[in-house]
Amino acid sequence: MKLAIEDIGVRFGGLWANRNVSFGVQEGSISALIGPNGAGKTTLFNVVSGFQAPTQGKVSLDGEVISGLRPEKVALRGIGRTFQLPEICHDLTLLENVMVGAYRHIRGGIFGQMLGLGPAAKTEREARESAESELERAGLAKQRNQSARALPLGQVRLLEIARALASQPSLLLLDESASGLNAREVENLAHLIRQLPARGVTVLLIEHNVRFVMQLAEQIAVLDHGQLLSVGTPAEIRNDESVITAYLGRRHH
Amino acid sequence: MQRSLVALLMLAWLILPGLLGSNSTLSLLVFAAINLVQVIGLSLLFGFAGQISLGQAGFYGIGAYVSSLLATRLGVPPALGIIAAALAPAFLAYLIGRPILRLRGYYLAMVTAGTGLILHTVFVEWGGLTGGYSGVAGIPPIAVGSFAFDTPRSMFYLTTGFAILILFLAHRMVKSSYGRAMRTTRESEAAARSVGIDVSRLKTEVFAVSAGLSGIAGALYAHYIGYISPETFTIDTSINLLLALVIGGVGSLWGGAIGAVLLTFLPEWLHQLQNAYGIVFGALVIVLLTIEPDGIVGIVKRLAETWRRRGNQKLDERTV
Amino acid sequence: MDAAQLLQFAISGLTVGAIYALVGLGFNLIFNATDVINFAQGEFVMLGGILASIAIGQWHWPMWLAILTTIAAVGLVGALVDFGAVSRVRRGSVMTIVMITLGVSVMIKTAALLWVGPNPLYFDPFTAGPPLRIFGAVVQLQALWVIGTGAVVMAGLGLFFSRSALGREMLACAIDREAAYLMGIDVRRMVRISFVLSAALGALAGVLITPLTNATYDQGFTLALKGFAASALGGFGRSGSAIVGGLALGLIEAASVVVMPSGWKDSVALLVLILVLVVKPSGLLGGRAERRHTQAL
Repeated sequence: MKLAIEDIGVRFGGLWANRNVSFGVQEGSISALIGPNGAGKTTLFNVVSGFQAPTQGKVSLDGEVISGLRPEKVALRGIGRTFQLPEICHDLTLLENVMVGAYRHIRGGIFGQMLGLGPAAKTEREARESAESELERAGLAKQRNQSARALPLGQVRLLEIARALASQPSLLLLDESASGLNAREVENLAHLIRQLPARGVTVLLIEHNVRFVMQLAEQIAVLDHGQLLSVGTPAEIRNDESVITAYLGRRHH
Repeated sequence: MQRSLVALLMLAWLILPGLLGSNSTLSLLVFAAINLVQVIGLSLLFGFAGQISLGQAGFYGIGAYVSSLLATRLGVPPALGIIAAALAPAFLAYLIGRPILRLRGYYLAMVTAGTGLILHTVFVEWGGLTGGYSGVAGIPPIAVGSFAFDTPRSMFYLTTGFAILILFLAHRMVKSSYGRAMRTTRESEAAARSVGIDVSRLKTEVFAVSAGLSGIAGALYAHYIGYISPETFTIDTSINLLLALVIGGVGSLWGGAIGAVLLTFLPEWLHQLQNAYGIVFGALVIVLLTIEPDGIVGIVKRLAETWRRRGNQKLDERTV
Repeated sequence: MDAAQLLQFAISGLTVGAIYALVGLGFNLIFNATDVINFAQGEFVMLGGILASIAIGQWHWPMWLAILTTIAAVGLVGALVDFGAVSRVRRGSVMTIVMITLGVSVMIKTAALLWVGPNPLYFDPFTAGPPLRIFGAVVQLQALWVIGTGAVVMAGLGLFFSRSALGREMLACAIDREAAYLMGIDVRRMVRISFVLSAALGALAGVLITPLTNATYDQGFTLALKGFAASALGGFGRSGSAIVGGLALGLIEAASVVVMPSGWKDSVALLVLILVLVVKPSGLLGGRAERRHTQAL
């Protein structure tokens, strides 16, 4: 099991944003987390990535407990993520933004980096190369030296994914990466995500676009009101009565 | 081309003191270089890592007092004293940085201002050590072997040379992976943390670096002037440094350099108006912030952009 | 320490505490209306002290006229600060606002230095006469003026916000600007009034304290920090808490003089500010959810 979420509960004041949530993600799989707005999907992502400490339960990565670690420590364990409202640095070029993802692979300390000494220069070069190829894969290579300031939302999301991938994560969390993208961009995104398991990246994504999820994910977990409604293959979820009433039904009335 | 430009600038630097002739301008350049070291530290902290400090004058003071007292009381050579002058405030900043830098915006501004004021009080009240309001006098110049940097000309080479070195190192820093991490931290701590950047540690480290640079500036100042007192290390100094950076341009090291030079020369240029430079300084900040948040550097960039575009247009017209 | 000494410290603590509370209220007024923390707040206090000193000492105006004119004039300066600087960067980041109000602060301070010079100014207490002796404690008449006026003004402000139509509109803006705007409240006007009121409060604080401590051109920033400390101590965004915070700060300062030289008392207050913010940024009483100043830059 790549990722194991066990009995996670998150309470904000009197409200449980997540409660008794348990499911696992297989190594090398693409899984999805769906559910109506306010179901607690992003909260669960924040728990997995360390941005939110759970009130109860635990999260394990490759059998080791990671819940309770700070986000930067979780990232060092190999979990990459994107944000529902993209968080990028507008001051940097696209290439530099993606190179930030490789931060954990840079060696040599501040002074080594300042003076461009051996290990620092070597890892910096490698970071640049991997950032270049991530930009290539994301279809942003042409704009690599542009500032990220004027980038349209669709490309900002792709940039965030490229940055997360540049950190060479073994698990990637994508928070609504397809929203705000046009049809062609969604197609490219699906293509990009499908290639990830072959690169050793397990994917867990939050998505509103049900069709997108159904064609992409091998496993789908459905959250409603903070609780896990169902877990299964797309076919199972499609035929699950409780899911249809709670989620699909509500959306397609 | 670039190499010959560097060589030309080097030559200008070498012969400048001879050309100037007057010692007072040379002296101002020494102060400009000292201010530059400080403003660069603040530029790294505020401009690049996004953390405001209104307490730099406190660190400036620590550097000045540490090096001066080591020299006058214990006979430590100033060249060694400067190292202590860098380490002492850096160490203090490192200690207080972690809790303080969790705060943001207005709170961080107020808390750093408070820190600066407390340090100022220490300089005044710890009279047995600091000499209180009367300060420390008879501070020896920096000396290496038998050569003493006791003239404006020799200090010019020392301080400007050092400032250029700091500028170069700071440039390397902001261009490095660490610098990218700083800028990402400024814009989005969430993004930085999501890729494994320990933002709390990074902010504390940069705070310590900026405090260390202020400390060095303080020591250079003390050994050049030969006398220090608390009134140099007030909140006004901290505010002026920050405003100088804003006027020059927060987002670039060049902005810091321009700000430092203005901070030093403006009072001199407005000499006839006595202390009126504060009004000009404040007004500059207000006007600049309303038209261009990136200060003078931002305006120059914008002008260059329009100029370039106009040039392109002309070219287009010609080809048509 | 006997009862007389205790009373002595309580009175001096309440006196400076009332001043900090007034400055803190000034911060709160502007913050509530605009999310702006005005770093030039202390300059209003300084201007209040200096203008009144000049009007009384050099122009020989009657005291009541000098004081009222001073408060009105500084209120006008408050409107100018809003009109000329802060409103220009209304949408700016926290840092832009810090810088622009610092710029204003430097301008006002420099102007005061050019006008009256670096020497301290003062004027005589509101009422002449020897200090009172209450249970063995020596109480300056002016201290009673400070405490009394402070209490009256704070109570008046409370009534203003709860009873008057204008006060209620301002309160509505403080609670939810968007909603207030949609209800047809002229938010711009409320902001301008907040600046005028805030400056006037600062000027009043300056006028009250000058007979006790003198006024110098460079006293503003320290006073601003202490006023901010008062607000932060109580918890930002609630006017009542600035009063509690101010009085608490004043008492702490007064107590500190017992155990260490008086030169350190500013530091003690600031240390309290730092500790409170680091340990519990929402203030001891738990302020309103922080808005702009918790956001990233």
